[in-house]
Amino acid sequence: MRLRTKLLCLLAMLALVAAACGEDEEAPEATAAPATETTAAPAPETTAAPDEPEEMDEPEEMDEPEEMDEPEEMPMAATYRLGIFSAPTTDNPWAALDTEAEIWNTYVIPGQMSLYTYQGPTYTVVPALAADASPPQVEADGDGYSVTVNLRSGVTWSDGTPITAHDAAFTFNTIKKYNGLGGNFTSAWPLARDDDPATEEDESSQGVSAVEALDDLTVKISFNFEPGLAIWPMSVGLGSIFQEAFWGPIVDESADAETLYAASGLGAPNASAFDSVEWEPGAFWRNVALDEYYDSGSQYTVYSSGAVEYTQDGATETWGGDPGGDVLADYTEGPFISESIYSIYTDQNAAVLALTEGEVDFLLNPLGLQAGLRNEILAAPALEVAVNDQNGMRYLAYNTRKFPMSQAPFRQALACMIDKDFMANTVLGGTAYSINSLVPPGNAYWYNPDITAPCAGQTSQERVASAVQIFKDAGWTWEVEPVWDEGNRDVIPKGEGLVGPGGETIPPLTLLAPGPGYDPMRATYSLFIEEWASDLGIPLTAEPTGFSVIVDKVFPPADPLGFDMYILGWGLTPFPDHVFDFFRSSRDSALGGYNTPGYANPAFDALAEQFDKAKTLAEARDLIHQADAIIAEDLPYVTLFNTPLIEAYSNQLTFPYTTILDGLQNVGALTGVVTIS
Amino acid sequence: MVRYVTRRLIQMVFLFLVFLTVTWFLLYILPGDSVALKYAGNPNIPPEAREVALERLGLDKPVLIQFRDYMFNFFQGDLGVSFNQYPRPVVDIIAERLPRTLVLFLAALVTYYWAGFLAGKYLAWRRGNRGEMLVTIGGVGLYSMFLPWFAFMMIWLFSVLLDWLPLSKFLDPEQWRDAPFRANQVFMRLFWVTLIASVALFASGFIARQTRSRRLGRTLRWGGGALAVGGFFFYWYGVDSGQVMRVYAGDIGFHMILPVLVLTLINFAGVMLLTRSSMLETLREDYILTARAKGLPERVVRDRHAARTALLPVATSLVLAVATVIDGGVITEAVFSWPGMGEILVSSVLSEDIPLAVGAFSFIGILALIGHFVVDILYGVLDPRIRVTEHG
Repeated sequence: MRLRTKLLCLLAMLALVAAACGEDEEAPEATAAPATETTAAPAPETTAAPDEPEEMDEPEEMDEPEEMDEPEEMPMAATYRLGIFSAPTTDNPWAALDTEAEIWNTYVIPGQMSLYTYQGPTYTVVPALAADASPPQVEADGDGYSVTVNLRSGVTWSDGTPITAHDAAFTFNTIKKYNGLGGNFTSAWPLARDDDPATEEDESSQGVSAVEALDDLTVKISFNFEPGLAIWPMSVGLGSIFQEAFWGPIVDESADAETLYAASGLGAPNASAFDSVEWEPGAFWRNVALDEYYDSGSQYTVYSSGAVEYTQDGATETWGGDPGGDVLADYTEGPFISESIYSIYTDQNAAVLALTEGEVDFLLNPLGLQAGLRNEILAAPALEVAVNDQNGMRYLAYNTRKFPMSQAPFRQALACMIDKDFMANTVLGGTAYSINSLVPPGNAYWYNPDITAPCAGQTSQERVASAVQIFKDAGWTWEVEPVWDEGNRDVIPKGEGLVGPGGETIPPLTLLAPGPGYDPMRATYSLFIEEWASDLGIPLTAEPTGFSVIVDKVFPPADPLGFDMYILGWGLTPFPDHVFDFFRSSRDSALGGYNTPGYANPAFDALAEQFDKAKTLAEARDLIHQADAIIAEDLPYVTLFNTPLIEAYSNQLTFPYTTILDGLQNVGALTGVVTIS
Repeated sequence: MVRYVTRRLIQMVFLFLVFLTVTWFLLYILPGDSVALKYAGNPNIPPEAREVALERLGLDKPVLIQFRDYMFNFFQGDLGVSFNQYPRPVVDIIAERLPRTLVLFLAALVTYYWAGFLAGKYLAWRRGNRGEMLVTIGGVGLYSMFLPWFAFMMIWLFSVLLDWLPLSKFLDPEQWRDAPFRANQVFMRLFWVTLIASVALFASGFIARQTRSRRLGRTLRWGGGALAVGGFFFYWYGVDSGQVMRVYAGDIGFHMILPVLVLTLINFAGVMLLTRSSMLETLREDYILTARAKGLPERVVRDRHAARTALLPVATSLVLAVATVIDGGVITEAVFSWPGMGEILVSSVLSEDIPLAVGAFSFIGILALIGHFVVDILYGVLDPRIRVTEHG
């Protein structure tokens, strides 16, 4: 019995191994030899410039075997293997923009069309479906406003059919049918909530009232208010457009959004160079390159000024201003791969091992790789590393609704004590870098370099002196004033009995921060802030708190006075309208907005209103800079630090650029232009 | 007996209701909600979208209404839709994950129980020799090993250094390109074919044991074994449906080797020590002395008289382990990129996906209750001394 059992197990094991290694004559599709294909990737130049479209049709029309004898003319032959850290949750592109707005879905689901789009690596807004190099201006139209956009001809869906104005109208009407949908649709296609022109006071009803196809290549978008840059083109212009022919019948049969989202989108027409063909839940997702992609062979040259030169069929257009500065990227649009396979690794160490062993070519992760893995990756001979700025920030927020956080000198004095460079370079060991403005330096166009940290460049002794002076100037007093003891290199005695200018005593305060298990950096930061506050006589306790608990207390707060200070982080977008969204009084989190500090400053609100109406980038940038300066002075937030985004990839890959805000992951690891040698 | 079973079934239903209620409310009172957690940190999602999402998921209703609706739907077989994979039904998600977890963890469970029982039996029988000390120390050393570290060491050894086995995942995506099956179909086929072969193997052994003729017994044992093994291979190599699926089943089986090996090495010592102590106790019984006095061969005394009785606590532990096998192993699943039920439990609780978490927990609860029930019955079957009487 025992012998038999052992024999059975052994045989079963051998059979499985043999079967796994063996060919399956019954399933020819599965026996295609990807390994040989991988080695046949041609240089991108061989596929460039499809000057004669007729040539592109030949492979489908001609059956002669001679065609097969010219492998050098086959444009795509390699498999791009990417690792992702979580399974996609839907294959439906509508759901992926709403309830399933997860980055993992964004990575794998081929993109839809939009009128304008961001162009890497500068994130310049350039035409996608629109024909005009610059977004046309909104004009008064009857009771409301409208913009008429001409569309490019020759732009096609992945099934080869042209993308027209009717698709844009269909998309908007679908959103309208389901009462605006939710998630990203709410910002990309804000729905006008009534037929009357909206007033400035009535922000919630402002939006798009209609999208009409004037003809196949002209679309008219109507608004019930005068939109500024933040809405047109930065929201509506970038909003996704879906194909009517495929989704129309599904929408007709879907009484509610839930039914629409339940429909499978695998293989649905899209506007990228790939079709989604296979999703094995929990294991992998596969996209295959189109035989004919409308933009294949186009030439892009991106300058550091943000300008983009685009050449298609011999005609060159310039977008985003005058070319100037360095050439950041100069490449031909692909695809130069035959397919992209996204494998799921649920453990980062396992994923890095897969990368070093050559099982995958690139790891896609919005947070990049842990800094601790960097040396391991650098030691691997077959890997390259790209380090980029993240478009985000970790910050300390004060609840300005309650004393003493309501007092600017209090906020400023505590901020003065926070030595961000010391924290980043010494305590956090260089794994982070300090930031001072609400727009990170990596977002070059919008970044305000004039913003400095409170008490920047001062020594600990000077910081204590400055903080004490800030309090004194504002009329605050101590029973025991803090004094810097040079001999002990510490504050001795620490401040005691700090009272406000009206004699108000400071109640015990709590700083909520993620615990070390969730984020050791922010947890460490909170302990130092507690210590610095203690030096000044502020009774502050740093409390390691679960992420969900902090979120529950501040987004939106059940009790707006239920917290004192907290540390969290934001991931940001290239267009930094968050600078206003986070601090204008009409977006107070008690009202459901993102102004968690409850900050209210009429001067700031006035700037926000100007920003709403701004029509040009230059105007908007000036307002952003002013707003950033106000916040840096008034400090409802203290921006703390950011971490670089570390990405690793096989040295067999060639990207047209690797320096880009938020890393290559933010542009989907450039599947459309990457080449594999 | 009938009265006992009926009483136990009623108790189980009541206990399950309590379990479901407590689980639901424990998840509900977690701070925050699924929508807030999903949208926090993403300024792209305006506050209005949060309101839409709350309304869509029914989270804007009073808590008791939400609970009432959930229970009402639950007992109609509707476990709701996942908040985080909206609008996917919870049942679909569990059905997607369950086969992966069942196949991997059942295979590991059977392997380490089998290895542990055999090792425990020999340790007790050959008590005091050097081998016992080595196996015990080795087993306990492995048993106390930190699973993620050990798993990575094994991956490094077998996948990186020796390059014998795959690094992780349950399949090779490039081999599965354009596969005519979903992985779950293959998992289920693997499960059933292996189960049928195992049952045949067990049945042949059981029937052989009941026969008085030694020759017939041997024929039945070997014949049945050969039939089970032959049938297993015949299915994959001789039957059309098996042939078509063989390469994919083989790939999954190939990916299972390393996690099963790791789980076996880590866990077999627990079973081994349990068997050993149970066996040692049994060996002191009078009937063992009697068996020896009768002049029965050592192998018969060991296997027929001692090991059979020593099996009781091991069988109990096995049944309970089978009942909880569907919660998988979060760490094992993560290290080997084998997303199953364990991953669902953790992610749904962390993201406060209440329908999915309660749905997954309810499966575990039901199986655990059934497991305990089976154990109670099994005790009576295996050990006549514990048999339930009408007098209770």
